[in-house]
Amino acid sequence: MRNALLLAGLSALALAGCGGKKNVTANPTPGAPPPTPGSKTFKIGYSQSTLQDPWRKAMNSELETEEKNHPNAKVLKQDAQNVASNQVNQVENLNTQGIDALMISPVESAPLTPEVTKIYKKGIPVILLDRATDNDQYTSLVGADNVLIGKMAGEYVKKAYPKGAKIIEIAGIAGATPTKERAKGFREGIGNDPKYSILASQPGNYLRGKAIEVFQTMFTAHPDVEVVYAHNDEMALGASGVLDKAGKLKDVAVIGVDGQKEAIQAVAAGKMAATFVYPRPGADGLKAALDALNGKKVEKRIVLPTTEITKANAAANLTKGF
Amino acid sequence: MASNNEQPQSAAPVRTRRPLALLQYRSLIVLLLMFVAASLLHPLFLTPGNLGQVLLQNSIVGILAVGMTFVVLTGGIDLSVGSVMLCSGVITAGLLREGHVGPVVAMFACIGIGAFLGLLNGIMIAGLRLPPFIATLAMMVGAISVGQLYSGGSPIIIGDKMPPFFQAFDAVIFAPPTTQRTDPHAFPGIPVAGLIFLAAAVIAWIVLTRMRYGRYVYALGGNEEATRLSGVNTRMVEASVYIISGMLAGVAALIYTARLQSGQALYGLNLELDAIAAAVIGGASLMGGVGNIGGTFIGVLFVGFLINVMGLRNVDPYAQGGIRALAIILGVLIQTRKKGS
Repeated sequence: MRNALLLAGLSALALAGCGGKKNVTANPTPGAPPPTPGSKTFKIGYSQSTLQDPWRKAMNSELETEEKNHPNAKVLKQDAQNVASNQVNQVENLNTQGIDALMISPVESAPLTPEVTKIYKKGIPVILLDRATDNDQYTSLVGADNVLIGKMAGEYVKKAYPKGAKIIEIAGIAGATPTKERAKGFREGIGNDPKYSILASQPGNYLRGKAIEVFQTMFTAHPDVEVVYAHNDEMALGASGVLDKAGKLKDVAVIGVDGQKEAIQAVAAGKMAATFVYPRPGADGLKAALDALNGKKVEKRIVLPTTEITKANAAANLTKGF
Repeated sequence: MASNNEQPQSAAPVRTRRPLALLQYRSLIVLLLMFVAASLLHPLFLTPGNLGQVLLQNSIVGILAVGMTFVVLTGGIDLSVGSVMLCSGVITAGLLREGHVGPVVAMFACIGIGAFLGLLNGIMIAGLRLPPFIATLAMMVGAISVGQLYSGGSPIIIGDKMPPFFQAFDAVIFAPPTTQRTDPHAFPGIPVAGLIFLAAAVIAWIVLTRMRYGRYVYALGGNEEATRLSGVNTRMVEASVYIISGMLAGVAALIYTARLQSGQALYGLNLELDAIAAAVIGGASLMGGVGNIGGTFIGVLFVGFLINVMGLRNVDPYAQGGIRALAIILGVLIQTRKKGS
């Protein structure tokens, strides 16, 4: 009983501490450019699903760079470490701290939907990054479109091989949404043309080691392949290595998705034909949040454009990689 | 494991030659069935090029399965082999990229990290008396975490820093000239990784069948109490199998790192399950005391042939898991039928 009381007292203190901090963070940090007169300082909660992922780390650093352009924005960053229940708690805590807007990339959609809905209904703008929740109770979803990226990859093949091509696909995790979308878009891109045939398609689970195995087997069955379309760069790099060892790299065009630094370097070195950048919504997400706070109209769906990286522009885009 | 004590009779018969020979025979039939079926299912299956590739592709899981056999023989299980391999691999990739140590040192570091993590498993299981399932489950999660902390979650790319000595772990010796390399009917050369797997299997076979230590491993899985009472330091033996398993995970990491030219610790390879499946298809009993390296070798090839032919035929990925599950159950059923008779 005594302990429980003590605990309650401590938590009250802790809460008071948080309340105190609120006033401090509302002021601009010393050294930062002063906010333009008349404009309010916005406190924006930001919950990233995980930082154990180079793409998401790059997303955070781009958000931080963008934050420097907005002295009236203070972003409170959280990392849910890929655990949905962590993220629910973090979003609740951000809400208690009194945020003006919420940016979130949900770990999973279902468990986060109620909390995000609650905040949105309070009139707080909610910007979803890369992943959606299960209803339309949010201000905007900012992110790439995997179908579009797949389609661009398909169209690239059509352009590079006007007479037709024999294709092997290394898919992502079977059944996962990005896998389905990158596969669907690619098929839209090459169209219904029988000149373009997908000889084989097997999942490489987005892992380089797994992709090497499945590609070797598909390559044995179809040594006449001309194009390899991999659902991410890790797998494309794996396939490129297999082809390199077999001395067939010059006969086969390897295409990846993501825009990983190593892949852009491989494109520059002629070891991959192309990669399609899967854009990171950090900077644009923050801009959307600030637009909403400043009363500007924000589109419900903001699709970030992808960049096609081929040998022609690889050297110039090396810094875009992650 | 307490369950070992319930069947004290299994320790003695295992050491006689006849049931072992029978086991070999059974698993060979299972493998032959798979081999014939696969040859009928795809014309390219039975080509030197493809079979060489199967050996290459299964060398990593094969090396892990050899280590797993030691563990399973004692009645234990090692769920951490895949994670330990990734953890040693990612640290080795870092060592190679930074170039502070030579390739030989990096090689011993890679095997050493695996053996050290195996030692931690052994301490948890034989020293602290944690159930092997729990201890190695913790290591499975922990080793990946260490790898991710080390790499900051990004792949460590070795690239041009890859020393030729290290690259040899993924090389093919006596390889044909480049022009013939994609011809499946030509001699494909001998993959070094496959040789390492074969060497590991042969050494393990000698240790288990020709050395006193091997008898202790079988005896421990057959009846721990009786083994202890006959003066064997059972705790040492129990800990040692996890060190062997971890060390072999380190050896597998050499090949994995050379193949990927990089290191990254990510979940999703599920190599521990493949290794356990291979040992069990090969006739090993998860209760301990029963099993042998020859069977494990056959189990590795059995699953390897199946995965290969499904890939060659471009079987729907959604169906592949189910087919694999059925094949594993069938394989084990054919193995274990004799126990009823």
